[in-house]
Amino acid sequence: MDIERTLRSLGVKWLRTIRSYSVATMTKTLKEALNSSQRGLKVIIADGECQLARQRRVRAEDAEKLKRGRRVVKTRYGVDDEICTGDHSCIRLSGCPSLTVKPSPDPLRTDPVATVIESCVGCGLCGEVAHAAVLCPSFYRAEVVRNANFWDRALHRFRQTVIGWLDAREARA
Amino acid sequence: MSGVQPIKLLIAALGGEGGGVLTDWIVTAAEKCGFPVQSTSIPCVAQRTGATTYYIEIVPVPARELGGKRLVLALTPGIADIDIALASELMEAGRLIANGFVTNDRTAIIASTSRFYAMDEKIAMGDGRYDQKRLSKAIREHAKSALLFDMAEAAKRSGAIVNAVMLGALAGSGLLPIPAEEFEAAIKGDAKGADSNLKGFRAGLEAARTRKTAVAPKPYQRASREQADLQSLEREISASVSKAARAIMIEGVRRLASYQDLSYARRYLDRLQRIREADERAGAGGKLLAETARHLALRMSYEDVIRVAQAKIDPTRLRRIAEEMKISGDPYAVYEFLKPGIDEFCQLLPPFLAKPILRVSERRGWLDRFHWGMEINTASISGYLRFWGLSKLRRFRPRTHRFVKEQAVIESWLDLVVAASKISSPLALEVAECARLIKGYGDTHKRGAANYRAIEIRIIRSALAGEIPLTRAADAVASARTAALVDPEGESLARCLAEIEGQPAFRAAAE
Repeated sequence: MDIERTLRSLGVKWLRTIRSYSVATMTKTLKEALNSSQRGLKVIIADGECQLARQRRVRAEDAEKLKRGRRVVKTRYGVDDEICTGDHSCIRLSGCPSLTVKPSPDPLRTDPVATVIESCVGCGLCGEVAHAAVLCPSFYRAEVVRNANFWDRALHRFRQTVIGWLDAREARA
Repeated sequence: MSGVQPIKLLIAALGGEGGGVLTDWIVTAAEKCGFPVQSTSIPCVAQRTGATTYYIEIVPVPARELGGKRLVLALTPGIADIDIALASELMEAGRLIANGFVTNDRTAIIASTSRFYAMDEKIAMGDGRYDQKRLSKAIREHAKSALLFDMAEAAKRSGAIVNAVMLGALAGSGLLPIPAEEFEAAIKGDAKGADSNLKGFRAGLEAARTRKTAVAPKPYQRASREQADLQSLEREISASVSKAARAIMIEGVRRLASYQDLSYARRYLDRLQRIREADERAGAGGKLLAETARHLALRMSYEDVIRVAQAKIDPTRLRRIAEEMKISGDPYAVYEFLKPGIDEFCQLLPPFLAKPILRVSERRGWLDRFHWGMEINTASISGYLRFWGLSKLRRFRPRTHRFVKEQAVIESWLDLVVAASKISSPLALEVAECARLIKGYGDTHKRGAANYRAIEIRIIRSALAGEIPLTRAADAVASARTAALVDPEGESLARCLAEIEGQPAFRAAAE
């Protein structure tokens, strides 16, 4: 049963389907809906799989793939504790239970800094929010390729070598 | 016969911690010993808004000795009617007490000292974490006996889930008439993750028996590295300064030398010279110097684009990420989330270019409208080079618009501290502490700077001009600062400032 077709057949003219994890697009669409001069019901279908349900599915799939030696990309988000200044706007805007605080490793700061803990499922909402609300440059996404193929390894080795040279120059400087 | 009472056990766990499995293990062990047992569970709420609770009643007399009689066992815990309470987290233990389940006449509580912060604690603009010591003290006071240790740490070390550690602690406490072997057998009977669970069980067992637990590793501190050419500067500090201030100033010098260069670190010490004199004059006992030194080091190493770029390509950072994700030789990528705007670009330009651009942008509303979101892979050569190039702009930093602006604000703040120290030492401390408001990036930074300006103009300068009586001045500054950190919309601060300014002036005359 198609939600969109059903709604249109019920007479809804203003209809959008937005991926719920695209925060910026969703905010824009909501504003559009609220400011629209068109009369009548406006519907936004927030399309997004529950991350917990997705995790249960993906975790099992990945474990299976890993066992069979297939290529798997693991994703996790993180916050740079050196760049975070402990304002927590990101936590205020995102309800993620894996985004919490930890004591700052900076000996001069007393406020706790934001951190992403192990339960992170890699949905990317924190990053989307950081972009949509133009928060700060502390967020990053780390991707690891397990059971990488030849090209993955070759490219990575090449990159690491060049970066290693640059790093060594820095250290000497 | 009528005297037989079931032992009442209440378990509080968080979602995903295996509270249900823990309950099953306890029930299995009790049944093996022939004790009548009943358990119920109360479904959980995700997102840390509620705990999952499990209630177990165990009759400590084997069924065959009951002479065919069957006890009626309750399905829900009763207030002040619990013998044993188990909690996987410290706040949950506190919640059990607040709900009246743990009483000091009969409840023995076994709880973890680990914390999973609640939303209110996480979203505070400063530090909203509940005082852990106060919580532990309250737990000890309200229970008949308390066994508190870090179960999360024990679980992490054994690779187990915390429920195994809880079972071990329960077994080791001897509170139930069930031998530890039966509990262990219950875990062994469970096929999933048996080995790591057994390790966790033994860790909990030992913690309960010896009351001695491995100390959790201290959260790592990242002090700046020592550098050879700073030794003379550092020697200068050590000579004549209090211990607290010394550590801070050494860290400050190292940080600023790595942020900019040696002469910048020298400038830091020069600036602190008059603060030292102010401290001595006001009799602050070194505290004014220490706090000002701390804030000055942070303010002088303000987070600009160059600093962020430098931090992103730091090899120790990439090593740490690799360790956390257990990358051992696997190819990886680290995508940085950046969204610079016109403001960030102007930070790098000299004042004669930046000022007109910012002026026009502000007038046309471009500052808020134009930002360029990007995800740059630091592990790729192009991404790395971008950050590397930016970090190289370090030597031009003293000529950039932002640098000039920041130094002016810093000097003005130091002037205020010195002026305040001439009047009152507590006031000077509060003024110094106000530097805490200015931090962060983008909107956060703008908001913090605006709050600081408001407090500076309306309270600090008024106090220095004598418009606010001395006895209230320090308090007024502190209240305003706290109000500024309550809500990002600034309503608390507005109200606080209005209140302070609205206080009738004739009170000053009466003093």
